[in-house]
Amino acid sequence: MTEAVWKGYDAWVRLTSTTIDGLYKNSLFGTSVATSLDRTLRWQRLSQAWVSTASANLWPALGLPTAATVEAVQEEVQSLSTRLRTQDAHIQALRAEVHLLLADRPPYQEKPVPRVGLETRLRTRPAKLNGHRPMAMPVPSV
Amino acid sequence: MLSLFSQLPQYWMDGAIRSLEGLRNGLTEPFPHREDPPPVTPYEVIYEEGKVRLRYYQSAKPSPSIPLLIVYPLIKRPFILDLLPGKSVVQSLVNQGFDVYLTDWIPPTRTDSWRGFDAYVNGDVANVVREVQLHAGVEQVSMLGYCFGALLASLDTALHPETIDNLVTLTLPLDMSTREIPLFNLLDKLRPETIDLIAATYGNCPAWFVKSGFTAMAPIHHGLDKYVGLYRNQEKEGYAEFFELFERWMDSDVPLAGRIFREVTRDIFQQNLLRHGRLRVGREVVDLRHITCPVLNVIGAHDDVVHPQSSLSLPECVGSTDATNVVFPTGHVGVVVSAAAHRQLWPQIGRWLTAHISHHPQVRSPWPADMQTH
Repeated sequence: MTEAVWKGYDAWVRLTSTTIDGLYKNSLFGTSVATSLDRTLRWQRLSQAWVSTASANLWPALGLPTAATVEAVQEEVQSLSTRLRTQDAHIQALRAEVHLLLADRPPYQEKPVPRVGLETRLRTRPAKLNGHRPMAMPVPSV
Repeated sequence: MLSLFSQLPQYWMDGAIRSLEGLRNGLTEPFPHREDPPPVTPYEVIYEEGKVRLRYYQSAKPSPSIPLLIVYPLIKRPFILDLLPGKSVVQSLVNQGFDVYLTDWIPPTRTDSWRGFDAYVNGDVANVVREVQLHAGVEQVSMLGYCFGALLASLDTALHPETIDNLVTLTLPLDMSTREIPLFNLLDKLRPETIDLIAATYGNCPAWFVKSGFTAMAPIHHGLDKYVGLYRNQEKEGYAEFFELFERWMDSDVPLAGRIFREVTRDIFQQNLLRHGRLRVGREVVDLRHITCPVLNVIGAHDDVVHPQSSLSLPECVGSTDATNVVFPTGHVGVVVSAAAHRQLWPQIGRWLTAHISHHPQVRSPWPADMQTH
């Protein structure tokens, strides 16, 4: 039963596709589609021209950009965004490479820094009592 | 059977929502809405100029590796050539020892509507050939083109034959006099003024117009049958994943620059100027007899986008004495994604290229006699 249903469906797909192909080959159908497309485009051009003419002086006077300007800027932003994403991916790949190179580097060994003795430093800095009057602190014996 | 009524409508609704979203984005945004999926084969971008980025995929084998430039079509995104492990043309070639360079076309904006064949062929393609020469350290480059990319590659080879070592064309739209594909009868009815109007109204040929053309080629398949196929093959391993990625590619249409849209529609398709040797690119008329390098012309026997008859005449048009047709039993996209193509066709293409690089003195055909047509 299921097989029969699928066979029926496949036959319907073939039949419909063949019918559509026949329509494409029909000269009258082709001409009417081409004519419709042509007229639609001409109306679109006409309306674009009318709107741009009507808004050419009005929009700038109001400090507003025209649709064409906005569209052009939008396209440019999209283009820059795509390029930025690609560059960013490239940078991330380079960063990963740098991390790998750093990981391979021998461990950093800090040289011992000579430290001035605490007592010596304390001697140079007089202690202060509350009220900020300096007083001499007794130096503890080492 | 009951699952048919629950799952199939869900698949169809997913696709309908995706298509409507794509239509909305196509009407309002000039670029694909979604980013490309992560690549299967790692690459780096080594060049970017004009409207092209050049990707470099390093060979998986130790040197000496063979540089191969793949010229991708101007429509849709190039990730179809690197879709999935085991279904990646790039991966297959890289594993065979090729350093692969791939053109990643930057979608045109309204300000790029002036770009035609001259800009793309004598500008971008010639520049990437030069970049491959410098990067790989070779004087001549082997080039492979797919569909529209094969057209660009052929034009470049005819105009700059001294830079090309070998040429491989896949589903090349050369002789467009055939009307075996029914939709082309409809396109014949478009007057030159209408074609000019499309470019004038939108600047470029919009992405939704390109997508509508491909959908109209098989409306029942794109509207319903592919979702039924997904339901019927849901148990097949990897089918759903492949379907999702393939549909993503099908929705990745990009605009076509206004001038090249006019040139392709009028000059290539309607007047068949390239086949008749009267196509002008820049200041020169393209003469395919200037192609004297070895040529391998791959044709899909069941191609319903570029009919096989459109590609068959290439060997008799070129000046090369080593030009071979290979008819493979697959469709237009099957040459790059089908399992059979990856099992048989791409290893054979790799062997043909390896045997034909200029420092190899002996040329042997890797094709069995029954697959060759001359």
